[in-house]
Amino acid sequence: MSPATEPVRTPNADSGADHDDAPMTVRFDGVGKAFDERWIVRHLDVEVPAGTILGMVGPSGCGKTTTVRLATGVYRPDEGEVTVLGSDPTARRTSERTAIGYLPQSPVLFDDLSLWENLNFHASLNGVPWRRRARLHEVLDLVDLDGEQRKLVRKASGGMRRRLALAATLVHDPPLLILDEPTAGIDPLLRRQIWEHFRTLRDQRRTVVVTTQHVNEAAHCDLVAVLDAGRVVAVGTPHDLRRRAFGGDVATLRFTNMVDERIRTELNTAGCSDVTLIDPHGVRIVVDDAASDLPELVRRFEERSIAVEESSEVPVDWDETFIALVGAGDTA
Amino acid sequence: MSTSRPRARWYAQVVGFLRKEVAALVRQPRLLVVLVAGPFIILLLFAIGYDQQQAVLRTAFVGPEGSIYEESLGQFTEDLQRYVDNAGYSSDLVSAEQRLSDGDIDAIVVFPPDPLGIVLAGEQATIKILHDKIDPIQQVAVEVSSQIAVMELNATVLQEVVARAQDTLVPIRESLSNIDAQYEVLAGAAERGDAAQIEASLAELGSSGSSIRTLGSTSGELADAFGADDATRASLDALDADVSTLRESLDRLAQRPEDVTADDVVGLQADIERVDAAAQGAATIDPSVVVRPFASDTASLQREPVDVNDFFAPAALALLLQHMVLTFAAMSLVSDRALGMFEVFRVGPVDGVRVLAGKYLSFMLVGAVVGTALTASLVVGLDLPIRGEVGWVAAGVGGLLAASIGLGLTLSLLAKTEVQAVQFSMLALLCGLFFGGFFLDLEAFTYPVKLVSWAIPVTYGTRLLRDVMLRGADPELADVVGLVVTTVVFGLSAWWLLNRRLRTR
Repeated sequence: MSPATEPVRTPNADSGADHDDAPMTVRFDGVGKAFDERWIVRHLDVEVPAGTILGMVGPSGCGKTTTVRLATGVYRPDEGEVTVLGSDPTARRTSERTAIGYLPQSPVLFDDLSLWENLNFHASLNGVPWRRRARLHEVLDLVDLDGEQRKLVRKASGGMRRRLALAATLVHDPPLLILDEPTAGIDPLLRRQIWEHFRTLRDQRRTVVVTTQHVNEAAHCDLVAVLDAGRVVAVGTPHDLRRRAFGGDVATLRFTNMVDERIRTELNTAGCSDVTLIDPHGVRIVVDDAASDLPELVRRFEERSIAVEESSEVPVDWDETFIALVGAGDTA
Repeated sequence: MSTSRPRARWYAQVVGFLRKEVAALVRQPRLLVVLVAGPFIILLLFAIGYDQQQAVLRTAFVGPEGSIYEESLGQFTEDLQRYVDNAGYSSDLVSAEQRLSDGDIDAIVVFPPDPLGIVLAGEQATIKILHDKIDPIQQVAVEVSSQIAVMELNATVLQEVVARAQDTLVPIRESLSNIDAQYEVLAGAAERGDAAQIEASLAELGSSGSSIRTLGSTSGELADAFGADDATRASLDALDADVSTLRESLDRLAQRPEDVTADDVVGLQADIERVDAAAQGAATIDPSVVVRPFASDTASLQREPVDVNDFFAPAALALLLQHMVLTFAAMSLVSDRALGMFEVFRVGPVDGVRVLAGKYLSFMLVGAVVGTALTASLVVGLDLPIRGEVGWVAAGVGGLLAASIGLGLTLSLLAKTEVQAVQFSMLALLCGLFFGGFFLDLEAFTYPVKLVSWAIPVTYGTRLLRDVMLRGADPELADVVGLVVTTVVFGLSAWWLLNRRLRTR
């Protein structure tokens, strides 16, 4: 494997500018990890500011779990440096490890224990004080399992297990959550609920690092790192990534008349790129900024007596964005 | 959410493991039944069904009709009834072999056709033992029984021969009494001048003297063989010398019986009185004792009897407890690892010591409950005695559990899969069965194989429980030390291996 030679750096989640001086909860600095002399990830340069949701998106086998294990200190990097909460995660003392809530890819639950017993066990492991009943109910309620606590895990559905595992990660309310595919196997309604909770945690200045194969979940994140074949092909806010994938905002224009050469020429002259005919009266275009450019385009066509029936920005499918970004990364 | 302080967190984590392990075990009643009730039922069946008489060989005897063997067989089989069940005597070897082949009998003892002739020819007569055993242990049993049978038969034949010779080898009191009686007859014949009677009496006196001399000589040889003291030896020598003097006097008179006078007889009386006096001081033996100088009277220093069930029950208890907690421990860590728990341990505020402390506490608790229940069942159900201190039994069981848990945890950390962990625990069970002193004496093993015995906790547990429960004694220091050492060694090895597993990769 030959990872990208030019590392992609994380922009500021709010402004898009670099912010080396801001406090970083997680920082990957030129990190690489190899097994059996084969690089699984390399040239990872990602920074996650405190109070941010970072989504790591990529296909299966792209290195998401390895990256997560580097962040948790399970793996030691073979090159580069990982800093989590201000220190090397592999060098933290046992007593200092309560700051991370970690959800592995496979839920660590015991089939012969009830949901409550499993949650209570994880609470014990993470040092939650003895009087914890209210807290257990609280997290069970969060994942919509309150009332099901007596059920044995072996009799619980896959979704329930996933939710319970998430509750076990949240039970000690850590400042940093590292979640490896937390929404896998969970229905869309509950997924939305969980993402809302992540945002609530984020608003409380907690940091959430999430991996997912659901590319569309990138929309819920403050920052998105797109991984492919062990490298980060893009990092940025969802908006930035969309723009980066298509060179700007994607929009559609629908005309009263059929689209002809005159209309095409006007679009090209106005600086629109990727003009694609979607039907005889409509085109899809890419503009720098849909909010300002679309009204300008409509006015321009009206001046030339070309009636525009409709103009709108297209909410681009994240699958498409992901494919575009990975494609761009491959050609880089 | 704040987390608890370090020490409180430590306890919370250990108790968390305790709750989790106990709950997981309680939720698996089938596992408990298989691991606890199953072996107990097997032990119970063994106790009920084991027939100690099975070792007695049904034996047919084949030899010449009307031989000395047939005559002595009744006593012979009576003496050997612990080993041999007499299935009859016949001269038909072919039909006896057929019975052996059909499984009606276990062995055939074939006597030689002319044993006396062979013996008189200066050779040993061979007694053949035929059997169809393929089990080496049963073969040894047949060989031992055969050797005892041949020894017993030799003694029986010898006794018979000696009995026939008892006319000449009578007890010394009887010989002396004969001499006194014949002396009176000789004195009367001398007064009457009855030369024929004189000659007959002199012959009788000579015979009794020979008998005394032979007996003295035999006693002297036995005295030498058993290392008799000088006084005993000197008394026998004096008797021999006095009998010789008497014989010389008798021989002299026998050369001319017609000339024997009353004075000659009075002179003979002095010789007889010396023999009588020497015989009083000499330690001679009964002829029947010459044949069987020893008789066995087996007695154990142990005051209370120990039957087979009693003997095996403590070992079974020890083996069962070792197997149970060892399997729990081995399965627990390996399933934790398969589940991904080790990754959670690495990331979370948990170290190897807390994990192991939780596991030890859990399985010690489960083992103690099961151990108590099993011991009570054995005491109540099988009348297993506890003759020593109950506290030592509890300490022994505690040590055995701790060492076994350590061994189980070590094995689980060496195993790569749950299947391997189960295989390891089965191997540990087999080791305990064969090398732990369950039914084979530890002394039967040689080094370095014997080291296996000393490496497994059940060896010490079995010895300790047998000492305390059956002998009523305190345990040997070596067994207490053995349990402590295995507990420490296996505990440290589990800790080291777990820390390696939890290391950052």
